[in-house]
Amino acid sequence: MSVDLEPDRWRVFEAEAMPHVDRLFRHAMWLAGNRTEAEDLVQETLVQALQSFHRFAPGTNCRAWLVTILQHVRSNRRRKQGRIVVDSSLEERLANVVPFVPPVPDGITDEDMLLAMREIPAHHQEVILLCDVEEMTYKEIAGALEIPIGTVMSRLHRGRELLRTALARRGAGPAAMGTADKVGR
Amino acid sequence: MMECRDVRELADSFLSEQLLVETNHELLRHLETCPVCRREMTDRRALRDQLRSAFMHAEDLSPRPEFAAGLRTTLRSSQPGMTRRSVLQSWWTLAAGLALAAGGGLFVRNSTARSRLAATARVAAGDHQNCAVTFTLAERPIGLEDAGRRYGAPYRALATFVPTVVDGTIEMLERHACVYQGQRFGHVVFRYRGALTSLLVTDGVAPPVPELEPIDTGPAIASLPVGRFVGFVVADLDRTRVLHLAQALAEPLSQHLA
Repeated sequence: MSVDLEPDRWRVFEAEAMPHVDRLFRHAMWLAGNRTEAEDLVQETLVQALQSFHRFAPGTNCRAWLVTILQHVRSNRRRKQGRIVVDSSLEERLANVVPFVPPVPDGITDEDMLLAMREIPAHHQEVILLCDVEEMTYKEIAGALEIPIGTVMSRLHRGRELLRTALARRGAGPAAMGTADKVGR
Repeated sequence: MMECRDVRELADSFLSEQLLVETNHELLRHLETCPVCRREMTDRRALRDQLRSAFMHAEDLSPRPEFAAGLRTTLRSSQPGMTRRSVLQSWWTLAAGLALAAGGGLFVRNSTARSRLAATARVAAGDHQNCAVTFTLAERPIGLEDAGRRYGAPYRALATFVPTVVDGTIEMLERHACVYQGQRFGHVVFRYRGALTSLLVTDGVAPPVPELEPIDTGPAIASLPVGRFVGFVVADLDRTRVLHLAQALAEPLSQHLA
């Protein structure tokens, strides 16, 4: 039944996928760090998504599906560029040796939050974004990043601790550094 | 009994809604009695919410307005067009399809659809048993509002569907989205004529009208069409009564989810 499939496919694709362009772009922009590359990433992601839209199961999480394609597009590009691969076993060992996690500071601004995120390693940022911002499940994240679920969990654990440490270091509030300092700022 | 140390170890999975139901309940029981862990969890949740908000509102991460418009044009042009040749090919395909259907193709198609429906019905029966009855799913169910955000509006609509029947009363017990054997269901659990009853909605092939599924053991199960979804009513009741319940729910549920 291929008759009228193309216009119909575009219509369904437009309804399912296009509402996620803003979120997808934000994700790409965060990862790429520049607008041209982010736009290029999003465009390639959506072209691939449209071509393989028959694989998308209606009723499932379209945004997670698109983010997964975006991660794969980016990962393929990075592989071609010969970027460094993270040692997962080392990460998992490191995840268990954090001696102290500071309390969550008060008075955090959005700017504090994003700057603190930039201070932590990129592979921790990725997992935090996919889990906490994109609301993807561990299984979806593992598929998107092509890593084991155990690594997702350890990166998330370690990443959240590092984020709190970075926030405290930035002196984001009295809980982290004392009220006098906050007043003096 | 869970201790503070256990809670801290499980905090990430709790926050990400990835814990098993039993573990989740244990953790919640601990939080009810431990103000320190409760505070810690509140702080973590606030941190996550603020990160989400910061990310969503950051001006320098937002796309240029003209980008989205240009993107639509690019994507449309990347679609293979319907040329005269392709239109002719399509007509031949359609003609061949019709001929095949006339020669028995419809039987094959119906037979395949029937076996898919039976397979989904078995999974639905398993979900009823493992979720509604014994509460032993591997993956924690999530709220329908949350499922609506993640998987589409029909899940959210199911949160407000009120099943009504003329031959008894319905006592609502639970609504959520759950996964069993890889199949995601919108799940409404209620008590009807003293029996724990599940109304499950999922993607899949639906019958044209409500009908009983030929499953020999366990509770009775009837399938029903729900718009572009398939629904199941599962209960340890007389089979005819389950079918009547499915017939009563089919139309209002389809309208509610449309």
